[in-house]
Amino acid sequence: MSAAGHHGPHGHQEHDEHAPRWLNLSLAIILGVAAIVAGVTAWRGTVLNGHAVENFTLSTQSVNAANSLAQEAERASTSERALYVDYEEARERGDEERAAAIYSMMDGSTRRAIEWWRGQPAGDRPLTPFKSANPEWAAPATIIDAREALERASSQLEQANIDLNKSHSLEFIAALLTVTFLLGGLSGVFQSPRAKATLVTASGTALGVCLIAMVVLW
Amino acid sequence: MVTIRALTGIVVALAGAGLVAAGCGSSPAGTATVRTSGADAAVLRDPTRTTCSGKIAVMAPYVDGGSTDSVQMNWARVALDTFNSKNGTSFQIEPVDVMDDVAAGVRGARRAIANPEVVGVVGPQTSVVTAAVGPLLDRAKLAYVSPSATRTDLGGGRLAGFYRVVANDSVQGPTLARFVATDLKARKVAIVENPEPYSRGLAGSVSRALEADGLPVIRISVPLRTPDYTDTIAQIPRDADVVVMPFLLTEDGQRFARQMEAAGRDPRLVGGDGLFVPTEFTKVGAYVSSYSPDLRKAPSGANIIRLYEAIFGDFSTFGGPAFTAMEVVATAALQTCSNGRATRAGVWKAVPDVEINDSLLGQRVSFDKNHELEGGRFFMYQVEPNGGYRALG
Repeated sequence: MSAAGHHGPHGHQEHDEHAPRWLNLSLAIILGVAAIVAGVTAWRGTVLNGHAVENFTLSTQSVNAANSLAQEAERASTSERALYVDYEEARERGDEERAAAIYSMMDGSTRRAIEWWRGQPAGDRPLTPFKSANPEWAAPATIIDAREALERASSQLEQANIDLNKSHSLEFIAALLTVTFLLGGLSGVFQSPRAKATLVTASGTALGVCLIAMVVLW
Repeated sequence: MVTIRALTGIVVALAGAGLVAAGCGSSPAGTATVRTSGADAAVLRDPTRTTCSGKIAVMAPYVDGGSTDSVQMNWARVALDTFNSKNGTSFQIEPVDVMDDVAAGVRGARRAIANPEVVGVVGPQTSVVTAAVGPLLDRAKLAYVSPSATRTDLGGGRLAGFYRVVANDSVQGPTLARFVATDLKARKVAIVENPEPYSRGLAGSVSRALEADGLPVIRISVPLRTPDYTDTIAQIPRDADVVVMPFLLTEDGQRFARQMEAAGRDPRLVGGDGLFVPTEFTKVGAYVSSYSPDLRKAPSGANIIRLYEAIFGDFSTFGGPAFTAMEVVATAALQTCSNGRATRAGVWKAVPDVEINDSLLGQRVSFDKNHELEGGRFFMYQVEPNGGYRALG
């Protein structure tokens, strides 16, 4: 500004005419790229936010599934033992009708477990049908499935947190990009080529930093 | 004009790159296999995984109701059901009830061999049964991975299909000797052994290693199931500050320890892995070795222990290697699965190359050319007042 005042109107025109064209071109490129990066960053942040929400939802569903499975395993385990005890008591009493009624109340896997157990030679038979040696005993697999679901829920929750953190970081980058625009815009206010160049360089540096951060956080 | 054209080109190129990036980024961040329908276990499994079926025999006790009954079977079962859940396979356990009864072992092995669905074996539990049934299983090309048969002469390729996921007794002897000489700083050692292969072999190995260190060693042999150790105790020199007792039977170890205490003798007692039965050998302060590490120290240990406890209640580290042995056989079966069926030939061929990096044993599991666990070790424990065994080192 002071330089323009010193040289008068003629000097001002001469100064503008001698402003390096590469400076304007660079500024245009920087601002253009900044605009694109701002757009892409905002889009990526939204996508990651969406993934985070999706994973939070899946995680909740997995926890529910795991809880259902755990409850089912608990219920099945209690039920199969209680029914089996009643069933054996009825058989020992010779009450075949009651034994048949209890048997009909058992679920398929319990019946298969009992059948397998009964089919074993006396010397090779575990103490009860609900032992690890009985391949038809389904409780371990149910408990393991519940645990698997819980582990899955945990990893989905972890992924959701990662996505959410990335999304927040990208939003921060988008905010930083306004510095690029501000510095680029300010360069138009100054007449001095040196001041312009400084502001354009600062604007370009801010853009570079944001670009690197975006790539890292992609 | 040239500058404006160039600028336009640059902006268009950047916009294109942005769109390409947008396209690349539109895929989901992760793949979710959990469905929303809740309780049905089947929906939790990835339906795209290849299924494979077959039976894996487990030669371990599960009938007698003793203290270690079913422990290995339980661990093998947890391993198999976990493997099935993770891999979408439907392998089944084929139990063979056998511990140290050779005749029962032979009968069980013949039954497994006769069942064409059986593609591999976890076990046998004991060395004596392994030596007896090994040739039968070899002829049937059934690979067998033992979680606890430690006798040294089983390895070295003598039994073609035999592998183990624990160290052998040639490692146990020097481990015990090193512990006695270095950690306990013994001055004179007595070894009380049984006249049978396991005990005699281990006693010899410990004795040689101690004598090589310059320690005086006296060896005393006592029959199995000796009811009264008075004479034996009298033979132990008063200045022997460590007694090594590589007994085959836990009950013998417990009885000997009690009678030593009753006789007013209090040297430090060191047992072999035969005494590693927390419910039976309870001499507080005594030391025992085990081929099984403290499973709680493995990175994956806590999760699997919680799972085991959720299914079976009490946790016992004793059977942990059975989990790994089952993982080895199931992995070999899956790797060579053909048309949805595992095969004996496939398991036989694949077991030597199976590698498990994050095993429950806290070490990488793979086999050397002698079918031995690479980097196998023995571990020392001390009996605590609460009856638990505390891992040392």
